Amino acid sequence: MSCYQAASLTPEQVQTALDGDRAALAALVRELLPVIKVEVGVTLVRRALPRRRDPRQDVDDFAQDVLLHLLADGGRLLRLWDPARGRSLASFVRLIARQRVARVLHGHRGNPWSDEPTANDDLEPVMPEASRDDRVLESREELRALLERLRAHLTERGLVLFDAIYVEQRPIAEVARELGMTREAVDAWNTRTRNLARRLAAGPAKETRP
Amino acid sequence: MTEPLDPLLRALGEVERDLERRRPTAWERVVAGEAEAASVAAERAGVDPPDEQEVFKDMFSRPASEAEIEALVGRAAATLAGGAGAKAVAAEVVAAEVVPLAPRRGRAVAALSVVVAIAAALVLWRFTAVAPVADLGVYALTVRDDAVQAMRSGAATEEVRRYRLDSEIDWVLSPEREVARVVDLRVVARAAGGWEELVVPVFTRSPAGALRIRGRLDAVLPLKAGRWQLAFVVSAGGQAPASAGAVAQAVQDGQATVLPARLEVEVEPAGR
Repeated sequence: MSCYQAASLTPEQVQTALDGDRAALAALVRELLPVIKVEVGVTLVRRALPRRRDPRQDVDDFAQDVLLHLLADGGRLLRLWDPARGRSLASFVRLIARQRVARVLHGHRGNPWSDEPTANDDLEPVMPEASRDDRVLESREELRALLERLRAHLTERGLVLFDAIYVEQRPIAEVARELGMTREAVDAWNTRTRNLARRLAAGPAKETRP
Repeated sequence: MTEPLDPLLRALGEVERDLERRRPTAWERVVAGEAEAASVAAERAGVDPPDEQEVFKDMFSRPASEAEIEALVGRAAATLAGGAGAKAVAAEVVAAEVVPLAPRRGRAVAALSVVVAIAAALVLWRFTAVAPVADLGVYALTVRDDAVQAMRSGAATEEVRRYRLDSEIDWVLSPEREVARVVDLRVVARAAGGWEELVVPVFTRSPAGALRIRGRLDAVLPLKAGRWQLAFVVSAGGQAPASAGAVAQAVQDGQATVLPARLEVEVEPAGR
């Protein structure tokens, strides 16, 4: 099975597009649109079908939103892409698209550039930790819903950390070195994110669309 | 002491890996026009649940048209140029304020400018004070960010909404009745000194015809920091006025309508 090769663009070509070269920008849009549209569509479909909803009319709106989000602020997010960190352009864009959709679906309006996962991550959990974890861990559906809510609250850096440490299961020391962080800083992020996940697990899901 | 990996986060990581394995990225080739929907559907049969498969096939089987791509590239360019565009506008304003004109000719030009500005304002006011033209109907503006506040057509407001360039805005223009046709949206931004600029917002349109400007302010509405009065101009698709000065004529010709509601905004630089 061959895969769509959005990763054929080099960082230099992306840079040229972000610097305002119209032809390069057109090439970038052509490359990214299929990746974004499928990522958005799959996310919406898997969320909507169990609720007996039809997400088809929302896909193009979300796809456009994600594309412009990537290009906002002079393309700051796209400029973060570095293939040396192991992600292809398509993979990086999917990661951002997933988070953007989660943020919109949950009506999250935090500062996406903040280094903190959330302003409320110091709140005390409202349920005993063991019973809460049991409840969530027993249900795959609850885990999937919690993952979506967590994505909505993570910053881009938090998203990269979560992906590297918990999804790709890479050594923390290696991830810290790659992101220019100290081990203590990663541990602090870990603690905050753990508290955030438990707080989200304890609270009702705030859903807006679709 | 270092933190151990958290069991709940590890479980979430496992869910993510599972989703990653099942992610049907093969559809990207269809959206890119490099594969047939039927062949990818056959490839994914037995992998994706039938109900998902059916929606994917319908959702991804039509590659984006050249016109759609071009429109997206235009919006992408506008988004990228947001900061630079606003700087250019600001430079024009500053130039208009500080560049000295030759004494006599300058006074004449200044007087003419004032007359033209007053005339334009009167024409704009005249056409916004009456019922909207054509079949576009009446639109209501709803500001959904921070506090929800609806301003029905004709309602006056003195409120000034404060934003930063990196604020998330969510403004919805809802038609009184469904508008099925394609429309364009422009925003006339009027500076405190009376100078006006036509701004092209990034917006989406719902099936019922509601128009929505949503996202980071400097990405979806290229305004410079400062105080602005915003007027929203809805026109038939492809017939949007090309400049602030052309709005009145477009309204007169029945090609556009201006929402009577104005939005007073104070835009501050992005926070750090």
